[in-house]
Parts: sequence; structure tokens; C-alpha cells
Amino acid sequence: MSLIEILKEDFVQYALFGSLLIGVLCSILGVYVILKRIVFLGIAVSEVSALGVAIGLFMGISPSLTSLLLTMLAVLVFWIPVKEGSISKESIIGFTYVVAAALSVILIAKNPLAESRGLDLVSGNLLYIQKGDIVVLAVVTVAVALLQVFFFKKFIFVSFDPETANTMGIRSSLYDFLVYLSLGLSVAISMKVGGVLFVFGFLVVPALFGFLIFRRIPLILLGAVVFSVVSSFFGLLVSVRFDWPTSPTILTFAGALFVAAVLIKSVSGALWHD
Amino acid sequence: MARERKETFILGKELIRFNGVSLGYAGKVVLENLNFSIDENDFLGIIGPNGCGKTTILRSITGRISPSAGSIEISRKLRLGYVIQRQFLDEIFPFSVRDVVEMGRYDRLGLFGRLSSEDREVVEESLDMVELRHMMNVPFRSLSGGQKQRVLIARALAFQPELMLLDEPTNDLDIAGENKIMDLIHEIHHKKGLTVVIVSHLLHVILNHVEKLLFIQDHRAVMRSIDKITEDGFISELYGSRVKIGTVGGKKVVIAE
Repeated sequence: MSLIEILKEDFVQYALFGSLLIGVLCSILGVYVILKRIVFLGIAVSEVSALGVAIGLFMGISPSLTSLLLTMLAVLVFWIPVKEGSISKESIIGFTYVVAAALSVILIAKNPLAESRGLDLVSGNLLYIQKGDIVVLAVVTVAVALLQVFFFKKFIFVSFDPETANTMGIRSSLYDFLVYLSLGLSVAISMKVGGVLFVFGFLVVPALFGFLIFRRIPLILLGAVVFSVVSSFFGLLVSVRFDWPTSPTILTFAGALFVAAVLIKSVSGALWHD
Repeated sequence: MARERKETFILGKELIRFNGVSLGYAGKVVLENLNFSIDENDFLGIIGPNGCGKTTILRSITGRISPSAGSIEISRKLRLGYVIQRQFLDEIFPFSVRDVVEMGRYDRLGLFGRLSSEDREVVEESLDMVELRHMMNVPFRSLSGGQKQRVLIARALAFQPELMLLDEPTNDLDIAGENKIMDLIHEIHHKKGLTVVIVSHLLHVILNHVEKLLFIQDHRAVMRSIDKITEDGFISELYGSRVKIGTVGGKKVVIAE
């Protein structure tokens, strides 16, 4: 099957749209995840979202709804600033990840209908994405992108120095909440089709690429988005062509691309200095 | 008893007034019964040992924390420029010097977050004031401690404040760096007529610049004009050891005996 023939298939086109939208969403928010040093929160929220899907399947109600509600609750809890005592916020995030992962496995194992979708929670299944999923993803992507267009500078200021921002007339908690809200919404919507691995991977790898190549945040954002688009497109084609699992293939492709970029940068840097 | 931070019309030259204010965190009182005011064109130093609550006072002025007792009256629409301790800022952010100073104009951003030509002018003037205009495109994280401090001061200036609050601006600087930063703050106060409140744990650093001192000790605060701190026994009593204020080459120095 040629690449053109692959791209003519409806399910491939849907998967492509889905992965591109998830890629764009997660790569934008991934830049904030890295800047705010909340990478671990990214995977914990993804796992909570997976637990939401598992609960929905177990109870026979909409997994999208339960995932959304649980994810937003988790994001709200992690957004609230707390004075750390003997237990750090990071360890609470770790605890949440472990418990959410364990509970998801139990709920899937005890639900014959859900068991067949058990693997999906981890590695997703982009090839089964529906039109409705794409519409929802597109709406959320546009909403998140618009928030960035209007409030990008304020988001960055409150992420960098919330105390000064607040003193100088920027409502830090509001803008910080909007960043967390965008993150929760994006993870919850992406998780159902992409799976934990894909969502977390795209929260981290494209943004890392952006930071590797560029030195200004708008360019880092742009670089991360372009990287996610390229990875999604070629990763998906490779996955369909060789019948490999979709999300892991796209992520492996993204990983290889990132490593190549690191090597090229190192070699060119060394040559430059020589 | 009233427990609030309220914006109000204060008569006379007062910008901020603390009325029997107690401050603390999580039920623990850090400071009690603070009664003092900050007037227009004041140059006030808040001095005390590490952890005594100096930054807490700044945070109560900025509204970050509320008093557990008493009230803080703040002149309505008072523009507060804040210079945070630079050690609190994460260097992962890849900002240029200009990016950081422009933040001082973010409360006035237009649609799509655009800065006006007036905003850009103010940013450049602020960089001129701290003598860093030639470095506006340099990465902030690559600067020395003193240069970073200047950038943060420029950011506060770009906000065009009526009152500038500085939290330990000379921390971790060498003696030359301390002097340069204090001279700059001194110049800003005198040239721009800006009211300045500076927090420091080092009396000798701010002694020759500020006009009033608020001493924090044992959860209490005592205000003195700079001319009166040399009164017999005052400083020694405050620090609990024999400390004198002397003069060398026309400048006040702190001598621990």
C-alpha cells in the first residue's frame, strides 16, 4: 500500500486529524508544563483522566464525562497553592498517580466490557477515533489557542513571577487557573483517544524540542507545535504502513526525531566552537 | 477588631497606614500591633534579622496576606512597584532583558497583548535609568546578580509606580555591588521623587541612604528617623549586644563592639 493510498482511507484521515489536534493542544500546554516545572503533574493528571474513563466504563455512563469531571477536579486540587509541610506537593502528585493507575487496572479487570479497552487507556487507539471526538478536540484546540492569542504574555508573567504580577495589576490566580484549566480540559479530551502514554508524551517531547532549538518563548511554542505536527503525520503513516500500534509508534518517532535534533545540535555546536 | 486591607482616601501625605496590625501565617503570629505610616516621598528601610517578618510586611502592603488583627489603609489606586528577591525567580524562563522590563507594562496591554509605542518608550527610559539599555537583548539568566537586580528595578520603574517596594535587593552581592544598587535606588528616590520602601537584614547597607528606619525585633516594630538612631543605647538594646553607629569619611558605619 502506497502512502497516498494510506492517506485516502477515512479512518487514517480521522486518526491524522485527531493526532494533529492532540499534538497541537498538548505541545502548547507542554511548554507551560516545562516552564512551571510540573512535568510529573502532567502524567498524574493523564492517569487521573484514565481513571475517569475506567470509572465511566465500569458504571456504564459516559467515560468522557467522568474523565472530564475527575480531571478537572484533580487540576483544581493541584492548582490550589498550599504551604508545604512535611509532605511535599510533588509526593501528593506521585501518590495520586499511583492510586489512579492501580484503581484503573482494577476497574478495567472487573469489567468484561471494558477489559477489551484496557490497553487503550495506556496506549490509546487513534485509529478508532470518531468524527464527534474530532469536533470536540477541534473546539478545545481553538479555545486554548484563543486564550493563548489574547493572554499569552500574562500567562507567562504569572508563571514566572506571580507575586510581582499580582502587585502590578495582573490577577495571578485567575490567569494561572486558566492555564491549569486549559491543561485539564486538554488532557481529559485527548486521553480518551490518545491514551496516557500519548498525551503525556506530547506534553513533554515537543516542548523539549522547542526548548532545545529556540531561545524565545513564542518560538519555542511554534517549534513545539510544528514538531508535534511532523511527528504525528509521519508517525501515523509508519504505524499504518507497518501495522504497528499507533500512539507508541508516533511517540517513538517523536523520540527519535528529538534525539536526532540533540545529536545535530551537539555536532553543529562542536563544529562551530572548533 | 477590624481585620482588613482597605483602599481609602487618606488625608494629608500618608500613602499607607498600619493601625494595630498583626500579621502571620497559618495561625502563627509573626508581627504584632504594628502602628506606622508611609508618607509621600519617604525613603523607608525595614530592618531586622532573617525570618523576623520584613517580607511579610511587604506582602501585607501588596495584599498577598491579610492582617489577622488591625487594619491597613492604603491610598486609593496607589500604584505599587514591586522588586522581588531575584533568587525567587526561576532561570528556566528564556527571557531577554527587554522581555522582563516589558512586564512592567503588562497591566496596560492592548488586544492580542500588544505593547503601544508609549509602552516601548517607557521600557527604554527605564532601562536607561538603570544603565542597561545596551543589554536589552541579552538573556536575563546570563546576567550577574547586580545586573539582574537592575533589570528588576527597571521593570518596577516601567510600571510607573508611586511607591516602590524592594525586598532584599542587595542579597548575595559583593560590597561594590551593594553600593551600586543602593546608589541607584538613592538616585531613583531623589531624581524621580519616588516613595521607596526597602527591606534588608543588613543595617550597614541601607544606613546611609534611607531617611527612616522601621526596626523589627521580637514580633514588634519600632520606627525611627535616621538622625535619631544614634541615640545612646537604642541600637544596642535592639540587637541585644553592644553596637554603635560611628562616622567614617562623613558616612555612618555600624560597629559591633
